[in-house]
Amino acid sequence: MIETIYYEKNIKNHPKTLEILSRFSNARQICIDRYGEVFNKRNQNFKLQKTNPALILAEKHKGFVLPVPEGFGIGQMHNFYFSHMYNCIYDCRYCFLQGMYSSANYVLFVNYEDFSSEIENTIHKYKSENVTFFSGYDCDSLALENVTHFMKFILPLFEKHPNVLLELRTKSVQLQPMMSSRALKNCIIAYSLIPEAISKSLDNKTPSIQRRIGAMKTLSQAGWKLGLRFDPLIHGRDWKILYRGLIEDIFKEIPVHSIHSISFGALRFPKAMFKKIHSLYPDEILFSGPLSQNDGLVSYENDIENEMINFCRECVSEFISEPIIFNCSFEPSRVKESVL
Amino acid sequence: MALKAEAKAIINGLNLIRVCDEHHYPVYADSKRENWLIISGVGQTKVGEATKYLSDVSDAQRWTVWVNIGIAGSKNGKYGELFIVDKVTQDRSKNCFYPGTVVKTKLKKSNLLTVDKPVLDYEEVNLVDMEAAAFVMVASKMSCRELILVMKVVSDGPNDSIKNLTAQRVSELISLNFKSIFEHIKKMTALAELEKIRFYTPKIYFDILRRWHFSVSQAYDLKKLILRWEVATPSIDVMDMIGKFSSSREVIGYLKDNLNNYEIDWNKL
Repeated sequence: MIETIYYEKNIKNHPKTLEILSRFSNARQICIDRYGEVFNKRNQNFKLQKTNPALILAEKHKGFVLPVPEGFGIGQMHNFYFSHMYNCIYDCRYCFLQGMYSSANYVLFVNYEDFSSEIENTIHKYKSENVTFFSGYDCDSLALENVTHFMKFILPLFEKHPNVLLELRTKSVQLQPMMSSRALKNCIIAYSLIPEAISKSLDNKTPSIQRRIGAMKTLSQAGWKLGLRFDPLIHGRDWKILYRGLIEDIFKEIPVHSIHSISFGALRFPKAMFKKIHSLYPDEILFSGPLSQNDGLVSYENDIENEMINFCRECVSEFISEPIIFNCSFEPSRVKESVL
Repeated sequence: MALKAEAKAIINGLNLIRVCDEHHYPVYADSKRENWLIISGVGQTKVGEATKYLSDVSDAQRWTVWVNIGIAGSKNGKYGELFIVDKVTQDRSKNCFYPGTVVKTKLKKSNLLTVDKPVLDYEEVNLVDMEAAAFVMVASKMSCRELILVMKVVSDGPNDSIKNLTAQRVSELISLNFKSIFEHIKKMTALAELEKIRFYTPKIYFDILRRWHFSVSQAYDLKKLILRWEVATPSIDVMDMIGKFSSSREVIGYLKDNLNNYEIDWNKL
């Protein structure tokens, strides 16, 4: 339930602003000049704001489409991402957004039309090459869809360009935008997955792993392609049993032909980001585990990382062939330097 | 608070007593020194100075809740109505400040204009006062904005002339809203507890520092390791494990080795 909505005065009469403000007519509505006045200012407290975040409606002026960091992708030549929102309704303890922003308020950029024209321009620029667009790095792609309707807006654009891939990264079981349209073969709904026992501790306010698997099954039955994102891989006692169990649970429900790609990502934070997150949640057990610092990154030791990736690869290889398995070397700080 | 008349209901309601007559501003506190109050006088300069002053004398922490309570003029609000202010505009600079909106409440909310001279034309403003902007500006340097609160009671407006205000009427206005004010402050205090936890240092850390000699950087590492230890193995007394060591280096080495090989048991959480 959103109780407070800040809106930039220059988009006060934008149709999307009017639509959202009218839908939340009981929310306190506060006019601001620029979203920076209430987002990412110093002396804000991410942890306290997370208990009751406000929504900020803003206009994005640049950076609608950005290149992903080197080494990241699912097999295509050109990879870009876009973010219609900053922040997420979920509260996952390993999420880099906690360390990225000072504010836990949700920023929604209402000028969707600028996103679509920039995406169109990018598609046109690389029209004879393989291109993938990713959504869901600065926010969950679908979690706030019932408020934003962004995916409902953007999916038809990708329907017009069947050779261009779109990945929607999510933990949400909000399937309305997909179930209300025919399945797009070039759209991958990519679910972030960790074993249920770990998820119960770290994935706050998210649908359970069982519900995510259920949502994937529904999507699969409707003909949508799925991505399995074991990212981040979390270490702990009996991790092999936990991950094998998760992978088996998935393949019990999801037919192999529905799976577009599988990727594995290590738990990694830039040092400064880790310091900030740990200072917010010093009592979080995840950060008391065997993490070490190397080359400005806080992560598990290489041998742990490699063992986990190799083990999970082997597990999924029992069900699926190698060419659709990727590693994810995503380092959030590299992406954000170009955004903020 | 700006006026003694505004403060009277709070002083009585919280059993505050004047803590020291030598203070530049009248300062009050309760017997546990948990709740503090300062009377600044009217105007932004005075409230800014008084807020800083109170921070110093009360040994305020980063999780301290800062509250400005007072009367305000209003074009729309009813006489005696209480508002939580979520946007403060400083008239002279046009700078805006946004106290936090995290605490859930059914109390009415409003924006407020802070002016330097009393305003008699109420057409332009929802609420108007002479202190809040400077208060929020100074308090924001000491606590996060989620722990800053401005509450105003409507005292004058188009139908209630400021000329009719007396000290007694001002006291009554605050007094009538005392219950709502403190229910909200209690919620803010609960929120502050979440912040306080972040700055907790286990007692055992100080015990270890007393027993072995640690350099400054070793003490820094030790604190981080002890915090991790307390989270990872809360049932194991660290002193039992390190008591045998003769040097700080051994203590740190032991803690590092153990924590770096610690496996979280997710099934037991």
